Amino acid sequence: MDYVTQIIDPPPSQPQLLLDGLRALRKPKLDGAPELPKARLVRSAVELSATGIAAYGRACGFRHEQGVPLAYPQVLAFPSHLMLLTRPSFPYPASGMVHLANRIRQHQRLHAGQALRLEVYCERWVAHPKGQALSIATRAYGADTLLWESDSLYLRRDVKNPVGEPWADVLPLQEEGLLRTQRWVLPADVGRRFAKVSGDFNPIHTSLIGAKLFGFRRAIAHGMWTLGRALAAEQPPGGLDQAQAHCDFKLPIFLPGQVALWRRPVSGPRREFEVRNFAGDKPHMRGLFIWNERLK
Amino acid sequence: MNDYSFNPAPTRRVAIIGGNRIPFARSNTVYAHDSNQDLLVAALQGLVDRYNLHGQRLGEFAAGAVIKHSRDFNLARESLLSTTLSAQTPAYDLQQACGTGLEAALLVANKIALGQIDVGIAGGADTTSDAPIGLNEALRHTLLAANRAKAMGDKVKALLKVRPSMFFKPLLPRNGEPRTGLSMGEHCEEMAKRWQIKRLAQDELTLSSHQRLDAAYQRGFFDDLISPYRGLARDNNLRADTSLEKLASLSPAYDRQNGTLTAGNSTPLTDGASVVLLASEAWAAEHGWPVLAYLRTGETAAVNFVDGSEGLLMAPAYAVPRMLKREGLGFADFDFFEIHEAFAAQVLCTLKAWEDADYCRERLGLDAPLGTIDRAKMNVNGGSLGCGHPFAATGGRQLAALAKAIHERGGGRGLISICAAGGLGITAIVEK
Repeated sequence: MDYVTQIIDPPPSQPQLLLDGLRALRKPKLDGAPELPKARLVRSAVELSATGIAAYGRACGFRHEQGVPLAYPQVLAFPSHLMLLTRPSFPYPASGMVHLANRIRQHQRLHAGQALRLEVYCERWVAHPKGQALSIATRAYGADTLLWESDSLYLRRDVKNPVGEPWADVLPLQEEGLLRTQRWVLPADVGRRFAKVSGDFNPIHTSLIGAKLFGFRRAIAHGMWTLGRALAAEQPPGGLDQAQAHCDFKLPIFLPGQVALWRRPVSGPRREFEVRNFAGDKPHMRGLFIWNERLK
Repeated sequence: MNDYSFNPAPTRRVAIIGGNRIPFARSNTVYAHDSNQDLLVAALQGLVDRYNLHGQRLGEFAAGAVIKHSRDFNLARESLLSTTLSAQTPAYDLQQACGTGLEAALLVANKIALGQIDVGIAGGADTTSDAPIGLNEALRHTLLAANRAKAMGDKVKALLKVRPSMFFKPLLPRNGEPRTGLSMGEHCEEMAKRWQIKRLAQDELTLSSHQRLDAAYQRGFFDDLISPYRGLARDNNLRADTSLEKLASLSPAYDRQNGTLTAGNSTPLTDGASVVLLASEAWAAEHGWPVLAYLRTGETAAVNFVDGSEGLLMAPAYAVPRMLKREGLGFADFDFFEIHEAFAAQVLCTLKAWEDADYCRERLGLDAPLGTIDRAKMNVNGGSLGCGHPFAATGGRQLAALAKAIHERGGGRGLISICAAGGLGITAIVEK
């Protein structure tokens, strides 16, 4: 597909993003197959700032010695994601897009102070049993080298006859030997604190009333926060050279609340984990994290 | 030409002269208004009185507390200044979670063994009644920012960020592992499941702990190990009349559906303090005190519980075989086993691990299982389940009681094993 590269400078302000979000609450009914937006949104030099990393780290539970958190660049790309989803040419309302899964690969060590060229574009449609899914690609380059990439799968529910390849990419997990290894007590302001570092002020994460407006009984934790919190628990000290993380989001985590990190005992630089309720019978997120092994 | 030469210090035996503790009290009971320092002073002064150490300058006093106020930065020294020991006795604090008391004794003993000092006191105190409640973190950061600001305007600007809600959400001490957020009981429940430790076995161990502690009191075993304090002469957690039926009636405390750990077979939060007098044989002879036993050696270990590959309280399982191998000893060479009972389940997990051939081979690197511990030799004068567990005071309690038991027997050898938060384990050998 031919993409139209659009340089984003300066990045959109918070009010502008909110306004775009409001405008994109309603979209005309779609006739026929949806068309993939052709825009490739590029920010040519986004700094991995030490203060930004520290603030993200505090919100997710990272410690300084863990280096640049694996999922942090995605936070920097978030405004671009929102710009894509709120464009008039995007066929569905942005507010109805559910984050289903995320895949991240880091090819080289990232450093505070480094500038990244961030490219965000809609990559492909995916036919999901529950509706139309879309994969948004995020690519981070240093000079001309791909350093970090992420694919985010969003779902528009209840679309009949979705287009694209069928969705089959589900993380397996053996139930046997699953251990509860951590308890997370989540205060009501988890969503607001993550919004301040991610710039995603989606009301379903930040306010009780906002969440109710969109049909949730309480505010829910941001998926990328849940992934960040889990990676903070799993990431070894000393930073990452190469790494990948996959996660599938399941039931929402209501705030305030309490959940637990469950893990299957495996040796080596590999973690298979699931965030569940404390009793262990309700899954919230399943994850796989592999680090410092040559990526295939 | 380098004329530097290193002469290794001769090592000498370290005598345990005696110990003293105050009766242990369940949290928020008789010692509710005492600080760590109050408790430590009471235990230390009792030892000074018993061994007539008034006005003496000792080599050192090493002690600590696990739950500490920031003002307690010099707890050992401040406590010492409140006793009749010479104020010229140096002191220092240390902290190794529940291993604090025993680690303090190992440090003092090592200095005696190397000839750096002739006599010293090791100890520990803990209160969870007088627990430190911190300022709200946001308020604390705001006040620090105001303190850093130079200009008055900046100070006021920083202080304007104070919100009323900050005053009603204090920072409370947590009874949980910082890296997992799970309480120690929840960690131990997980261990009990992994090792399939039955509820009945836990309750039986608990009952025996209470009964043996009561019997030891009855025969006057603690008469020269305890100084009464605030009208308390015995540990008030001791339930001489408890029974398997009573213990069986308690509901699980940490996992209400499938758990086996209860308030009965787990140690309660406890206030108390203990100290031990250690010296060279020459010092003991010079002052006319009999040697109860010698502190031969110690070994510490740690396990990775964070990734779930090992149980939080399993480190002693690793420390003991390492120490035995180094000293060329086996379980058969011991007459006493003083195993700290944080939870009955944790003791039983450790005993089972030492009997398990696969575990001993794969985890401990042993050709054969370490062996079975004869229960008749284990915690013969009661354990933490009976008397309670003021974190830093447990090591001193065990060391003094074991030394006395060996002395009463006319000789023998005993093993001390303590599990601690953070996946730590502290062990020692005492003999005569």
